[in-house]
Amino acid sequence: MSDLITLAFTAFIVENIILTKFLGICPFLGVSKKRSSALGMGLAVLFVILISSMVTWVLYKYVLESLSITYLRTIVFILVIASLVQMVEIFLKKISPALYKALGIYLPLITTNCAVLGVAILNINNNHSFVETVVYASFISLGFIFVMYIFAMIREKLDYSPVPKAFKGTPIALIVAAILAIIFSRFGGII
Amino acid sequence: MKKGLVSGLVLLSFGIVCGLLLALVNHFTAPIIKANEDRVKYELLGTILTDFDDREVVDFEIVELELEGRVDKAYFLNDKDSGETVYVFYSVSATGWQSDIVMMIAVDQDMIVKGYTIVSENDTAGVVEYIYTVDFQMEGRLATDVIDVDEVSAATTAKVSLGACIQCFHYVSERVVIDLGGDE
Amino acid sequence: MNQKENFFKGFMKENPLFVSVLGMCPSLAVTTKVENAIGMGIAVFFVLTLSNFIISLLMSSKRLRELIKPVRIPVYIIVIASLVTIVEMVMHAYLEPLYQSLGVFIPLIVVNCIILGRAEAFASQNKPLDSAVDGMGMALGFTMALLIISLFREILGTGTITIWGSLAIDLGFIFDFLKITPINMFVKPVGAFLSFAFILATITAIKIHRDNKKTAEVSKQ
Repeated sequence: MSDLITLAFTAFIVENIILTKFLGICPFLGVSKKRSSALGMGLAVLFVILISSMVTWVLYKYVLESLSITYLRTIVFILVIASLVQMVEIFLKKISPALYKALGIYLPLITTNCAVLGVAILNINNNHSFVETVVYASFISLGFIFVMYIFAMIREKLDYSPVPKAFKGTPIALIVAAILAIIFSRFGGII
Repeated sequence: MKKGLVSGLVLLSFGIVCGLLLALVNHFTAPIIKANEDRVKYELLGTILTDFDDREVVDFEIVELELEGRVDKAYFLNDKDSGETVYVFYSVSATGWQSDIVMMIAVDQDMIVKGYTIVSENDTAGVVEYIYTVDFQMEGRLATDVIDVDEVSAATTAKVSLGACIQCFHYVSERVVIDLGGDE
Repeated sequence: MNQKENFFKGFMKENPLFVSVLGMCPSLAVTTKVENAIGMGIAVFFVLTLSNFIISLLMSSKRLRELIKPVRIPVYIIVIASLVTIVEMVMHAYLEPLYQSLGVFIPLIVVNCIILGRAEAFASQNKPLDSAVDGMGMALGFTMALLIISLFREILGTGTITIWGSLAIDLGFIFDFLKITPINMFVKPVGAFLSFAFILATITAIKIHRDNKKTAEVSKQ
């Protein structure tokens, strides 16, 4: 049990997916301008990462390994993710058309989100059991949402600040990310 | 309905073509990857015997056997073509003064000891280091013809650790008859 | 546009990393050493050129085009993923140290927005040869961008430039001369964000300066 707690804490903060592992930067910089869209995007990503990690883990252990075709993992994983995102799109359109419209182009772009494929592969590389996969995937995504939300809060205020012309937009966002990265990296000594 | 079916077939055919192509590349790269991994995994074996008759550890087919008792693991290095066992490496432990001493002993198919090394020990520091310098004179000797403890010159303080090492050779000599001596 | 323009636009005008800001994930992680940047560049070059070429070939034939169009994104993904898997396997076998350094970012080339983006925006609408050249240009532009960032990070962070394995240039003497030590922060995530921010800001500043000059000249007339 304590292993799982350590795993969860590590996934959430110490090896935070955006600030330490550099996965999921594109939506991080693109969607985090408003808190509401950051939260909506984060929840969609959480759902996709969780389900895709579970499905790909099962597929890898019970299909790819038993047939010795593990080299097909990249193709199989990405196709699973693409199908899953498609299903989420259809689901959202029916359940919450407002959120669907708000997310716009960024919803299908979750397919090309490094975080989703990255977490699926990391689960395999780190030899996680099924339970560890679920815990890891959930807390990585929660870490993603956490950082995105903080970032969105800062960026909303940043719009009212005097930023030098050359830094407007992406550069200043990256500097904020750098500061957040320093803060998060200091958590490494706690465990 | 028909359009969906056609699209599905298109995707499937692409998938199959790509899958076959990848299987082809895998056929060429997989053995090399395995050899690299094995090279690292069996590094210890490579340090005991550096020259396997001009071959490398990875040129053999390595079969691992978990055993019960003092000889806890055996690595059979079989020739890849004939399947014959060329070398056997034994991981063996014996009771020293304070803890077990673990050795790795290499034997060839004629039961001649080809090499050995002390893998780990946890006995009295300052005393046990001596056993590393001792030449147990087992190299080139028949594994079943273990050297007498008194023939190995040593200070009396390291005698227990030394005795443990000799004991390791004894355990291997018993085991080697089972593995290699059977059908001679 | 002619082939020369086609090739070189990937370097400056439409640099995928600095202008379109695509493919950031691997950039931040991979640029800790110049060697990694070169390795990633080679991998992306291979995948991007071939994927553009193959996808353009597939989409040129009228009949295939009609068949593929409704499922074109999954088809692109299959093609790109296969190419990336080939790169992965070959690297794992022949370039093991590079494979370990780049780690999970090799299979992540599949979701690198640059490759899928070029396939959809360019390769599917243009001739195979043009697409291949476009792919090469974009890949080299991407590599150049990676090199700039990794040179910046590695020199400031460790004072050496590792070009390939043991082939390295030790610039420690410059640091000794200036009586400072290399700033380790630059090889950490913090440094990645900072370096990228400053390089982007510099490029934007140059652009603004150039635009101001142009408008100044225009208003003078």
